[in-house]
Amino acid sequence: RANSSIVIMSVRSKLGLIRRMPRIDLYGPRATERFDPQGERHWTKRYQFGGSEEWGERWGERQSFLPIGNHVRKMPFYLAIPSEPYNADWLHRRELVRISLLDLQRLVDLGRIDPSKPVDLTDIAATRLFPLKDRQYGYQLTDDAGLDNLTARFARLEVQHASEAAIAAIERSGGRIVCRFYDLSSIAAKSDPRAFFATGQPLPACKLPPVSAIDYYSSAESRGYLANPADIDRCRDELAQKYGYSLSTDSIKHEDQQWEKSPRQIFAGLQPGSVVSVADRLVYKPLSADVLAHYQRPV
Amino acid sequence: RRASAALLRQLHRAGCAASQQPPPRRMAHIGQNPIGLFPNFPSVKNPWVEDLQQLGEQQQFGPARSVPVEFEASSEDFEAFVTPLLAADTVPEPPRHASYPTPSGWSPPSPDALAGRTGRPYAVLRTRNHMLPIYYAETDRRRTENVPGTRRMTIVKRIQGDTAALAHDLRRLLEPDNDGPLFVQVDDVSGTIRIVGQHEQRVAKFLMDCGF
Repeated sequence: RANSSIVIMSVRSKLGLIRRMPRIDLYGPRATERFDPQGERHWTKRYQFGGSEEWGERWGERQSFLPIGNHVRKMPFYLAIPSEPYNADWLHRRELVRISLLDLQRLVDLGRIDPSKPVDLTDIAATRLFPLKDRQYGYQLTDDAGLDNLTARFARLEVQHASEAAIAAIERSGGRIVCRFYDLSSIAAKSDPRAFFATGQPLPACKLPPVSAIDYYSSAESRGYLANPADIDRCRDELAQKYGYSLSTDSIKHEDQQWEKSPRQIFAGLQPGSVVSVADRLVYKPLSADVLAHYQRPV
Repeated sequence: RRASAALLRQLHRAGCAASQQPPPRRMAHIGQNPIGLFPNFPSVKNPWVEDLQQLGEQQQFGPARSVPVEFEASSEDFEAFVTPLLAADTVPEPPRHASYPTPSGWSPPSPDALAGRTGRPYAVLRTRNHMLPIYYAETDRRRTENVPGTRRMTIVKRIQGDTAALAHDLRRLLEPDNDGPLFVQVDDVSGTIRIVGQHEQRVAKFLMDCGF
C-alpha cells in the first residue's frame, strides 16, 4: 500500500514529465523506475515460448506467434511489396526548353529577335522555332554551342534558367541577362498573347517560384529577378574576373524604366488585372482598391 | 416521409400550373442568407409552409450579382505595350549584313543560285526560315536488317531539277571517306535524298559552296 506522500511525489514527478514530454501518451508517465520494461512483453503473445522462426511450422502452438507481418512459408507482405519512389515527385519537376547561345545568335542574325529591345519568353516563342508544350516552364540558356560566337548585345535577355558560362557569354558581349520565373497560367498568357487576349481574361498576377526554386531566383549568381541589384553588380565583376573578360564601361541605358517588370507583372507596361481588348484597341485598367490589392499583392 | 414527398410534388405541380412557369430549380447560394432569399422558408413556427407557393412572380434566380469595378480605358498603353506583343505571322526577311558568314555561321544563298545560274542541273531551295534543308533522322535496324542498332541518316530536301545528279555529286563527295559503301536513296518525285550516316556538316558545306 503506497504512502500518501509517496503517491503525491510520484504524481508531481509525473506532472513534471507530462510538461516536458513532446507528445502525450500513456507510456510517458510510466517511464520511471516502477515501469517494468518487460511489462509490455509479458502481455504480448509474440515473444513467448516458441515465438521464433524455427517454430514456423508450429505457428500458434502454445500461444507462440511469429512477429507481426510474418507469414509461414511466404514472403511477408511488408517485404513483398516494393517501394520505388524515384519519380514520386514528377509533378513537382519543371521542364525548360533548351535554347543554346548559337540558337540565340542565329535568331539575331536572321532578324527574328531584336537584342536592342528587351527579349523574353514571348519573343522567343513568337519565332515558333522553340514551341512551348504542356507543363514546360519556359527556356533555359545552354552553353553547349555558340559560346565563342556570341556577339549580340542584349539590352535585357530574360530566360528561366541559364548556366554560368552562358551568363558570362552574354555579359562579355555587353549584355544583361535576368532569370525570371513564370507560373503556368502566366506561361499560357505569354506564349501566345493574341490567343490569351481573345479570351477576355484579366492579365494574371504571376506567382512566386516554388520553394525548391526560391533560392535560385533570389541569388545574384544566377541573376535571379528577386535578387538584390547591388549583389548582381558585384557578381558581374566576379564572373568577369573568373572567365577573364572585362565588362564594357558604357552601361546599357535603361531609358525606358517602364520596360522593367515587377515580380507580379508578366507583360512590360501592362499591370496585372488589366483586360486587353484587341478589337477595341484599348487596355481596361481597374481602379477599385480591392481589385488592385488582389492583383498587385506584395511578393 | 413518402406521403410528404408526394404532397410536395403535388404542390409543386399545382404551383407550376398556377404560375404557368417552369418550376425554378433550387440552387445553393454560397454566402447568401437563405432566410432572406426565401422569406417563407419552413421554420419552427410553421414547418409545413411551402415556399414555392409563396414565390409568385418573385424573381429568384437572376443573373449573377456583379460588383461594379471602376476602370479606365487607355489606348496609349495599347499602342505602346500591346502592339509589340501581337507578332506578325510571317517570317521576316533576314537583315543585310556587312559580311558573310554571320557570327552564327549563316550565309544567304548566292545571287547566282537565286537566279538559277549555278551551272548545275539541280537546285536546292532554302526553307521558310532561310536555312538549308538538311535534316537528321534515325530508324531501328532490327525491323529490316534484323541486327541491333540504329540507322542514322542525312536527308536533303527541297531539291529541284536532276536529283540523281545531286546524288551522284554527294556520293563522290562522301564515299571516299565513308567506312564501307555509301547507301543513298533518291526520290525525285518529292525531291529528297537520303544518305545513311551523319554527313550533315559536309553536305551543308558542299551546298553552300555551290551557292544554294
